[in-house]
Amino acid sequence: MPNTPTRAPLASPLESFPDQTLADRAADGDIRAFEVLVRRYGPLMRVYASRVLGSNDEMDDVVQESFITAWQQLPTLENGAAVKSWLMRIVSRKSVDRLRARRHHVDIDLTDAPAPERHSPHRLAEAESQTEALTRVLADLPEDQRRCWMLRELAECSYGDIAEELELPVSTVRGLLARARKTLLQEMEEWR
Amino acid sequence: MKSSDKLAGHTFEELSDYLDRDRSPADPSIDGSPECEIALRGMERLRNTQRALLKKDVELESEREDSWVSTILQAISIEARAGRDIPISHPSSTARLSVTEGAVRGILRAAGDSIPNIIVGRCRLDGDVSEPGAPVTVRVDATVLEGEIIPSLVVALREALYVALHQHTELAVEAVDITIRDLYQPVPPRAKASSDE
Amino acid sequence: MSDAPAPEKVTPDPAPESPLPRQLDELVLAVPGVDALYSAAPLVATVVASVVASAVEAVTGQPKSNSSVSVSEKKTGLEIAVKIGVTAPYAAIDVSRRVHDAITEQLDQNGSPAATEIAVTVARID
Repeated sequence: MPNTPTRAPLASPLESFPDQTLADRAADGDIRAFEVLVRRYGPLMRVYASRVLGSNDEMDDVVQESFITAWQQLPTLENGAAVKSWLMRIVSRKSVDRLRARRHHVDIDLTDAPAPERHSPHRLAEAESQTEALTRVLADLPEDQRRCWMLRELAECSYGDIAEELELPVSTVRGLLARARKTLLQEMEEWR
Repeated sequence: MKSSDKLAGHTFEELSDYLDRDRSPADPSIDGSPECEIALRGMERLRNTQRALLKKDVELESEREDSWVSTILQAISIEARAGRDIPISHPSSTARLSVTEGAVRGILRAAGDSIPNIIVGRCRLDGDVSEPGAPVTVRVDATVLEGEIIPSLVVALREALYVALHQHTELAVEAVDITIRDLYQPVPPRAKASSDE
Repeated sequence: MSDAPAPEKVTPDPAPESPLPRQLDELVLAVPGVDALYSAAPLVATVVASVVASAVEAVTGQPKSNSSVSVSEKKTGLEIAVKIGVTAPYAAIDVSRRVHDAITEQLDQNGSPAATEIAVTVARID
């Protein structure tokens, strides 16, 4: 847009609008409302993407793609109040797609994350940040458990949303989540 | 080593689920078991650690210069929301003038924004807007600040919408229907974590 | 002139008169109340493009510019399409009419073929 300032307009009342209103307005074509959503949830989406991808390299692309998809599909979002979880599901999907493409590209036929190494490599790097450690422990989880856990803990999706996103029954989601937590808990005790 | 194998007759999955239900409704057989309590505390500790890390990382991301925001905004277009073309008359036979439905929704929102304490959400034009003179009903959703006198706000909003429609279109507006969907409370500008903590 | 872009002809000296679409870009932007110009995807031109490409090239001075105003030529005359943004105190009705009139006048001054259609779309009002 020609006269969009580079800095966020500080006094814009839009910034305090509830998600529902912003999503409705963006669905109707309000770019400024969409911008507020980008600023409100973009940082979380960026962190999410970087956790899935294990790096920041492709984060910008993935988040940008996610928001472009969101802009195109917003008119189909029935409940604007659920826009956060909806956005998180998009970024989750795009991140996983990217990850798969990357693996495919590297041409290593990993059907899943590398098998957990039992000698607990996490202890090796005492200096690594907790984020890095958690990321590594997560990387050792089977993919479905990891996705489940991230959708629940980072994206704060409901069990129902996760089930829909992963195309699994809610009961399976519950089980995957519990297994992920159990493993993480055991691993966490090791690097504590 | 595996503290979670015997959990007072509960599975780890049940405890995980219980945690996500915020331990509600309370289950005395879980709450009364030290083994369950250890497992639940562990999961809570995990969650708190994760949340603290997430919060820190999200804050770092929020502080970044926001060229990424402009990149996104440049990549999206209003074309996607243009909707129908609403004709504007002109004496010349060569003229084919119109305003898009999307642009009209934009001025309806702007008109709404000129009135304090009411927020316009979705706007719809019902009727054959592409046919000059065809009757059109404008339907607008709005949210009102809690404590406001709704009828007077609605009157003011309807007036503003009529003025805007009249200024920018030649639509034969039969009615402007305003639905108050919700009340809102004054929100602090930083509305980040919407859910429970 | 042939259909295919001739590789040897590297943009000749700027003509005394700037090519029509670009001239119209400037003209439209100068109309009070117009604050943005969007690319007016020619609705018909995509279909007719290959047929009339040379004709348009002859009229406009360049095959396919990055101008926002779209000018295409049919047998009966020019078809012009403009997509604009209008700034608040101005009314979309008035501004779109003024844009139409300004274009008509300019074509007249240029001695260009008359337009059979001038489509002005207001795509945004701020």
